Amino acid sequence: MKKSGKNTYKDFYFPLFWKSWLIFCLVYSFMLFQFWWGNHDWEPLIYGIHWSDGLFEARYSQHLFTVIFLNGQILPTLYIIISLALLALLCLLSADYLCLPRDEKKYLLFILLLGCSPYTFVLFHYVFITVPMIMWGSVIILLLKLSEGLHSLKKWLLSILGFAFILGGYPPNISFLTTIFCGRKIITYQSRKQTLKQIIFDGTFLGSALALGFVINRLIIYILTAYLGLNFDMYNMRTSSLFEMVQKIPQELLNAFIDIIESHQDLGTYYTFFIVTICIGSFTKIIKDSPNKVAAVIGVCGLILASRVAYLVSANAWYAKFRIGYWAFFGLSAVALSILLNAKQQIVKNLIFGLSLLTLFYFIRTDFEIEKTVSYKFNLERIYHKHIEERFFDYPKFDINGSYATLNFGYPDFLSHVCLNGCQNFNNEILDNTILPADLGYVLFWDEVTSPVSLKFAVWGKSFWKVTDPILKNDWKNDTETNSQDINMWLYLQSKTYPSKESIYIDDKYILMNLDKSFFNQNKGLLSRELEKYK
Amino acid sequence: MTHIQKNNLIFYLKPFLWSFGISGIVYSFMLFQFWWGNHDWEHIKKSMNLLSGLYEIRFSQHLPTVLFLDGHILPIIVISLSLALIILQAILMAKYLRVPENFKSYMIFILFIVLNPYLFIFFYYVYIALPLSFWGTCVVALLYITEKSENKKYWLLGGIGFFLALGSYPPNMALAFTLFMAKRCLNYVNRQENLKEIIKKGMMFLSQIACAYVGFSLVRKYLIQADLVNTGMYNLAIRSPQEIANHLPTDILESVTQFFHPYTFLDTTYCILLAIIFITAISIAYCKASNKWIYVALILILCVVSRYAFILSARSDMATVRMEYWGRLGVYAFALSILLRQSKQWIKNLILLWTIITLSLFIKTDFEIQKVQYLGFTAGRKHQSRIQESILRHPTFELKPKYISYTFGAIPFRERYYQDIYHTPEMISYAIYHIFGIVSNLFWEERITPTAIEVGIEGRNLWHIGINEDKWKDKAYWTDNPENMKNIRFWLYNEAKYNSVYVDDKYIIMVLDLQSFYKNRELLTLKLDK
Repeated sequence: MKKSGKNTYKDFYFPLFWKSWLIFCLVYSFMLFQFWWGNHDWEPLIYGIHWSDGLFEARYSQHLFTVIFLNGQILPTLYIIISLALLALLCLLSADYLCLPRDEKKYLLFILLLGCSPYTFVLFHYVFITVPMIMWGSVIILLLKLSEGLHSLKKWLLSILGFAFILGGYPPNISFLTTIFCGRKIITYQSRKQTLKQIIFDGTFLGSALALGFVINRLIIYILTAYLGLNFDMYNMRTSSLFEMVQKIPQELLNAFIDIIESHQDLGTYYTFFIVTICIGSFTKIIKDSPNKVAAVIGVCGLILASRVAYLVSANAWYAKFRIGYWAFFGLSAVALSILLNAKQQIVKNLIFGLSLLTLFYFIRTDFEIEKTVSYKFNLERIYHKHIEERFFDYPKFDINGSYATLNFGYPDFLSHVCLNGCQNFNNEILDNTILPADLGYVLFWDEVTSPVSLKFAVWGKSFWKVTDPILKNDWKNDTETNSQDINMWLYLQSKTYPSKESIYIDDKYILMNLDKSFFNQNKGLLSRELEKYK
Repeated sequence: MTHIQKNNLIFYLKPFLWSFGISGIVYSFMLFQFWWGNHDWEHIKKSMNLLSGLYEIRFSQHLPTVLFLDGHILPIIVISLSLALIILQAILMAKYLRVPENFKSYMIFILFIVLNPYLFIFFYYVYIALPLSFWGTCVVALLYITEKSENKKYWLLGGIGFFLALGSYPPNMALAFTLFMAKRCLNYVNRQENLKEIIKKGMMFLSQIACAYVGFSLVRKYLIQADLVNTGMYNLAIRSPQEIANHLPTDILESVTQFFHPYTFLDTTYCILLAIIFITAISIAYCKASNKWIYVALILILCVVSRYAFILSARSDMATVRMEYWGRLGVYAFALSILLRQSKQWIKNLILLWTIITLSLFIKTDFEIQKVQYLGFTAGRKHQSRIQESILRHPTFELKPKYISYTFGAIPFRERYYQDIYHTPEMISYAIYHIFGIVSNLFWEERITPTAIEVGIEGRNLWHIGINEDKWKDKAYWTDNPENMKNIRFWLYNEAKYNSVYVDDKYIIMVLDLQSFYKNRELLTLKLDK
């Protein structure tokens, strides 16, 4: 039954929001009252987040909400409570934007299927960007809603500014923006609320605003590069040229189907079944119900392509494919669900309802499995870190107040120790190592009152890296012949792999760890050559 | 129960339940984890009994723990009960200060008190979370009940009640004094009492307090005579009347400046937000007061009595933050009760805005404190495990209660996890073990504690605690093996470094803080030479 007026918010939206939020808190309750984090979070946990922390990758507006709501702090339980509230809001706004009929059951199913999807865990992996990612998603919907209806210059300018901020928040959100916009246009066309001409005009309005928002984004990046001397050579900064984007279109269309059909090992084959079913079901319905079949097919292709925008624009999307893919799948799922939940025939309604409940049951079960697995994997790594650190204190030369350069050869593959949905050996942003290659030395002393780490060395991609960090002491000086001799002796004659006692070398300047036999053997020469430079 | 009484009960139940739910969410991380403070180790394992507080003349402190929980410190329940009692305390304060009886006003008042990050002072030591909240509530309840009538029965109830409250945690009497004066100020401004009536009520109140103090003094005398009290404790040192008089000007000054004392997590923003309501409230009341001089005098007395604990205590420097809580709470409650009575819409809107900003800040700070305490506790336990391992691996170490241990310093891990310029060495940021219980804490999970006598060394002091009293008095136990002395001295001056441990057949010596070690190691050698 359609409700109208002020009462809609009080009688419909607010109760739905509270119910969804409460259910999310129950589903994610284990995570709510534990505290684990990802490999980018060690420093923000102690030092907090400043709004400018995203500048190094041109994310000039990313941390705005964290700074405003939480004073830049990452706070256990609270950040998840806020994130789940934002997630409930995002799902609710999406349902409304996609013209889902105002039926409480349908809205609740829509929200829960999106929010309880195991893919959601990708948002919680790096705790420092959980709130930004979800918040900017909600801003997208609000901006899209704003730009609906009568177009005006004011709306257009506001949209441009909004898009500039969204692109500076979390750029892969763009896939969500384009997908859900496309989805709405398909729905309004299918339900004959808009003509093709109107849709094209809407598309032009939005597209131009987005393009100009992108221009502003690039301008800001240029200013940051030119005047602040920031280096934007990171993988997530490189964009494809227009020609490259056009060239990639056929491949991305194919990749979209492959990604939909391919089993996500960590999400389970049932998730694939879910996404395939709703996509096929909704695409079929779109084509069947549309007045113009050709336009409908083009619309569906457009929808799929819209979900690949982030991959089209980014030159290195494969680096973070799983995380980028979330927003594409969120958008596609939202569109597909809003179409299917609008079915008219009773038998179809019943089938969808039954399948939805089954899917929800599976999703929630998987959610708890992921929470359990992430928890014990996190604890597993922390115990490992603790064991290594304990060894250091046994070394007579080790001084907690000293100034060391640290280097670890390799790091265990903890992912192979955990199992999800019966599968092992995956690497994504739900289950990932808690440290980056160069960070082990720093993380080992994260719990100590003082840290002796002054410089981080890392071996990565067959290269030797020196990693400085403003929070470290940075007063390390290497002066010595003696060190090189001792180190080379350890490297070539004495070293054994952890947990052997000879797996760790400590003198007054270096902490070296042999944590992986083959990695060590392949790369020990790099350290020797590095030491030659100091002679 | 009459219909009206039932309706009244339902009225108070609604804000109680809502506040309990909200505070349950805000304190949820602490509620579902389990960490504790440096005095809690033995209490977590074993239960409390009524006599547990006698050594510092806290004869009634553990009554609620024994009554409700059979003396046990239980996860979730202790904090939940404490929160429930604090909410009840807030409701009673609201009733006492005649906060307008509507849901919104009560919610603002209650949430201000229960979500205030200052409250974490009392959650650090889990073993006194429940006593402090219980007795604080009793103090407010006593004030409320005893003012109902001048009947002798109420007077006696007040006298006995305040006596028991004094025996729980004496600084909480600051709340009684402050709220009493707050009520007088309110009644004077609203012309419900004149000066004569205020003086009369004051005499009644003071007579109850005097009765309570007489009882307390008698108990104190008896306990000292029975040698049940550690008379050297900082929290038993009281100023003489001469000292009180000498310090009064400073105390009067500090009664005003206390509103601008920032502490760990309670920075200048916190102070400013709360000072705003106090200044606004007294200004509004000033305009309404019939005689401005009397009103100003009453407000001054209100501020001064909020410093009650500091006026009496000779060692207030040792526990400034927690002592200040009670008086400051009463003053802010007074201010809020004035503001919530305002009927003009624009004032109401401003108060609502202030409430939203302040409660948001409170909630954020509450979670920040929980994060710091949790991470600091976890880091501390990890460190403990390492030190314990060093001792256990020593070739001659035996897990028997025979050692004398000396520990230099303790490590405050919590400081690692916050970047705050207002760091105050008070409860929120204390280390997880106390300087004179470190080894027994290290072996907390073992069946046997290897120490007979533990000595913590900090601030040029040796803090003794005798676990086995007979050993403490046995002279022969203190006779040292000369060989040990040589080894100990060699270790102290040649090998000892941060986190290092010395173990022989009689001694365990640990260095947990290098500064403390370098400053105090000769204290140890002098002690051993004796």
